[in-house]
Amino acid sequence: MKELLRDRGFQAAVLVSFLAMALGFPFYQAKIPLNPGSFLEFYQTALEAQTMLFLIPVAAVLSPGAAYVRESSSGFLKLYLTRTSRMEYIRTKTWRIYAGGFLPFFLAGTGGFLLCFFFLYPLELKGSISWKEIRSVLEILLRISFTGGILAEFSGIFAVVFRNYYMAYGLPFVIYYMMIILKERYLPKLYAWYPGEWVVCQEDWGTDQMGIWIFFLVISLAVMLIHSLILYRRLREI
Amino acid sequence: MEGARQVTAAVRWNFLGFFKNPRVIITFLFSFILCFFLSDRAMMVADYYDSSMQALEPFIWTFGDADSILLCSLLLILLFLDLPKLSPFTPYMLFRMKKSRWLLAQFFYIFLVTVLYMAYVLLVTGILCMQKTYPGNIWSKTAALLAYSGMGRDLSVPSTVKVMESTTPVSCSFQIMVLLICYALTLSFLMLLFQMKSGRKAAIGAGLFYSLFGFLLNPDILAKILRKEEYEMFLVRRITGWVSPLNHATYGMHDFGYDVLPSIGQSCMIFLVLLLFLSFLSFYTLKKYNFSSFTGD
Repeated sequence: MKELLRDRGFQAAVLVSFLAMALGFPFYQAKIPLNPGSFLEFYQTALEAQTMLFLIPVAAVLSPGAAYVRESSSGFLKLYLTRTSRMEYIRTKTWRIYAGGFLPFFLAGTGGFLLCFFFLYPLELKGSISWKEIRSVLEILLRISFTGGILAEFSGIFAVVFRNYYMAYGLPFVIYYMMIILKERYLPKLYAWYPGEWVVCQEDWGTDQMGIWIFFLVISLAVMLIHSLILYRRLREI
Repeated sequence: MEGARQVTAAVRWNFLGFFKNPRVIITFLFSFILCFFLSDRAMMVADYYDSSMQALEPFIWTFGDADSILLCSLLLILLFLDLPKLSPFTPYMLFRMKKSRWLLAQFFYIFLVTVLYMAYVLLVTGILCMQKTYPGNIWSKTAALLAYSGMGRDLSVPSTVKVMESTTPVSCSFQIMVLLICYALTLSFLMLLFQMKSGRKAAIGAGLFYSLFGFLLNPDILAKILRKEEYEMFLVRRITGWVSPLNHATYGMHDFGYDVLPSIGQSCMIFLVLLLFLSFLSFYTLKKYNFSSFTGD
């Protein structure tokens, strides 16, 4: 974890996520005194903004995606494998890549939430905020983070398959937008594969919208499994 | 004859592995996504009027705008990062052919890749909007509605009554395509020249500067910088129409009988002169070019 937090790509990803939120923040709507619960509304608008939707695939792959390309081309991997087992390397790498896509959004989002709370909540008129509203915005943040984790795993998969930086950084972005294009231009009812819907979760996802969490869990496990298997096959060649 | 055979062989060698190159694949995929973003305006217009479009109209409306041309051509910088194409085979080629023929092969390679890229852009724009298009070579009801309303001008869509009366969609898109190719070629030739003269970073810098130059000479941008009103922009529009290469590539910035702007033919001639000048400089630079690295990409 320390290694991940020290990674410049990871820090850049946190910064990009935070900037995406800041760019989508509705500053122009803030008129003092604010209505009760305004800080939550503003925060939600920032999370659901188009800038965030656009920058998710950019920030998600910045951190660990192409680590395999770097390690294998520099010869570090051969040296590293003499000090650890293959299975240990695969386990660490798979989790680290997922965390590298998940955590930038989660950390930037949590930071943004706290900033909104400390700077905007004192400017609000006295009133009550329900836990349901807080839970709702935190669920949006969690869904964005899961999307980031999945895209990071895609980046890891492409890095192992193609052993090329262009593919590792570019293809997750392309896949992400192919899903948007598919829904917006050809199949308007295919909301389950629409990244915008993953963030806002407004369509039918079953009782209490549980379906989307199962969807994220299944896809996350699937991409991690695929990544591990491909990595295992590549490491056998070394 | 021998020269033509050698140039063809060098061009074919340049294309070896072209479609398997990850950078090329990613550039074409990015271009697909860019076309999706840019064609959003045409789809919005069709949705707004709830009517269909001619298959080439999305391309005409998308790439009749300077910003779209600029963004589309920027991807060419990524595509031509490895110019001139050097490989371990290059020394053998240079033993058997003149350097000038080798450079001519580079020019042909750039030309063919640029034409391929622009044809791909045309095809992709059509595919992305195919849900609302028809193939016949006749202007659509949407185009007519745009031409007779202020919406076309507000959206910088080159759909005017004059254009519709004087040309067909196929002819109009062909003219836009030629302008796009000419602009992209000047950008690529400039990159090749700077790559040979000062290296890769200088080539990228030159490509970006060329794009920035065109962007800053856009009449809308200049109006904002100079804080001029629309009626005061007449002279500025006329000057930039002749000076800026990006405006030469923009279909709407040509003479339709209202302004003293260049015609499509004049713009093509200016691009041709520019290309010949860049080619001459490249041949001159080639004499001092140090073939130090043959490892390629």
